[in-house]
Amino acid sequence: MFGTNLRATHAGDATMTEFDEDIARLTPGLSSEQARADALDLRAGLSGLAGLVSGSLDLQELLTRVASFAAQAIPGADGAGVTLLCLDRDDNRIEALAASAPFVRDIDEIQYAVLNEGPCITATLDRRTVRSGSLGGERQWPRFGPRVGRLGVHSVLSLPLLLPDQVVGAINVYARGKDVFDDHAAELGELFSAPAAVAVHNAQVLAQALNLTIQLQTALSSRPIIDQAIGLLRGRTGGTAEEAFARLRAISQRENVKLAAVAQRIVDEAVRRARARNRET
Amino acid sequence: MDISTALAADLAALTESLDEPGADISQTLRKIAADTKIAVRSYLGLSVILSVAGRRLTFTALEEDTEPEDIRSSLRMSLPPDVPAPEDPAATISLILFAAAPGAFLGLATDLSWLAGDGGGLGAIGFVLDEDLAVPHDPAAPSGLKILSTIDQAIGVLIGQGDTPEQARQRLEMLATDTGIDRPTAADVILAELDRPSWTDLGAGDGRPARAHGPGGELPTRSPRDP
Repeated sequence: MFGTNLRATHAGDATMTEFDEDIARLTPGLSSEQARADALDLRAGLSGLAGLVSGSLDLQELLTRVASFAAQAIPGADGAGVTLLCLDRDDNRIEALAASAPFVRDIDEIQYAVLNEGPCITATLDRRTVRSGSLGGERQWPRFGPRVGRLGVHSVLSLPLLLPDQVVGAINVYARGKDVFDDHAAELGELFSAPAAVAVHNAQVLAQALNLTIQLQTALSSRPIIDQAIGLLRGRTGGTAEEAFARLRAISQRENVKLAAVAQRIVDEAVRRARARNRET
Repeated sequence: MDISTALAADLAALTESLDEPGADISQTLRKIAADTKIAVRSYLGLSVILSVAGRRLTFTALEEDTEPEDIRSSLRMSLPPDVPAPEDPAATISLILFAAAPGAFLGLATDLSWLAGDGGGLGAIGFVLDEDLAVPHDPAAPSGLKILSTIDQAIGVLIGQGDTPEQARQRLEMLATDTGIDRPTAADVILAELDRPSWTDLGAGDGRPARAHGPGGELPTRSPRDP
């Protein structure tokens, strides 16, 4: 269980001093002013993870926000992307992609859809941070590097989103300049990616739980009218419940109207007739 | 995850009712289980308790080879009614996660409540730890959907015969009372009548099917009037 990692990142101001000291320890050569500025950026990025699961529950939006927080947290970043893997499949299919800027989306398209090669794939497969400061001549990705270099993007930092037992995805951070991401940036990136992995995964658990309950509630709300329509159709023309349901579905598809709306219409018509008949007698 | 045949059938029926391309409630359930297991290694299963428009549905799906006695910790998430259905403020939905290790959900509960935040509209989610150590529903038992469906289909039959929904409910109740059976059984009787030739053979001549007839506990023919 990994909740502790995430909780440690949303401590209040009291822990921020320790946090600044941690960052200063990471890079002893850094001026205290720069360390402080980096710490503030990282803290802002991590704080953004709070309230990550909004009312919209949209995974794409959630990941886009994480990408933006990453771009904010890592010094020198011009943009960032988050890739999420589908964990219930053995081939680690990509479940979702999100980017903080359009150029990141273009690069991810090249990486995943066109070439199936690049830093995020390496970071994910090897479960380690990878970076390059000169993508145009990068030997690790001989097709990806030059192509992205021609787009004017020369630096990348890829951070796997690691949980204790597996990798759930990766964060790609890009910069247009050369050699932008040094050891300090990589260390800050790792400080961000560890809780981000937990946050993204837990957010998924919560979003799925909410999704399940909404699905169940919607289904249970519409089931009574569908069943009443099934009973009505069976009473009129006989047949099984399955046959009546198939007829409802056929009407729904033919008219391009939701099943529940078709059922409601059928029941409403019958009820209208029943009330009229009651008034007559 | 061990989803019983009865539960699988209920989830398939609910998915059909959802009528959303690509949606599969059973798949959503499996995904929650898989992801929760990554977050909480000793995860054992889940229960859902749903009350919508006065209809209650409960089901449990445990991991394979799990016995209810193995449960040592739980996390109940109670969702605020305005999240799933603003039109049904009385709706209540609880998702209960189970695990084998005591205190297993402490970290996850803290993280989830933090992730939900206060400003995202989800702040009213209730997280309750370790108060649901007994499975609220036999994993092998049906969820209750079939019973609800049978009653609603019977009401549909009665509406088709000329009853208003209120009259249909009263007639169903009357049949149950008069014959000393419960409502689901009475609904079964009404639906079983559909298979009898006399049901349609004795049409009323006005396009409506005839009411059930004859001795032997068939439907009461007196239909309560609307007030």
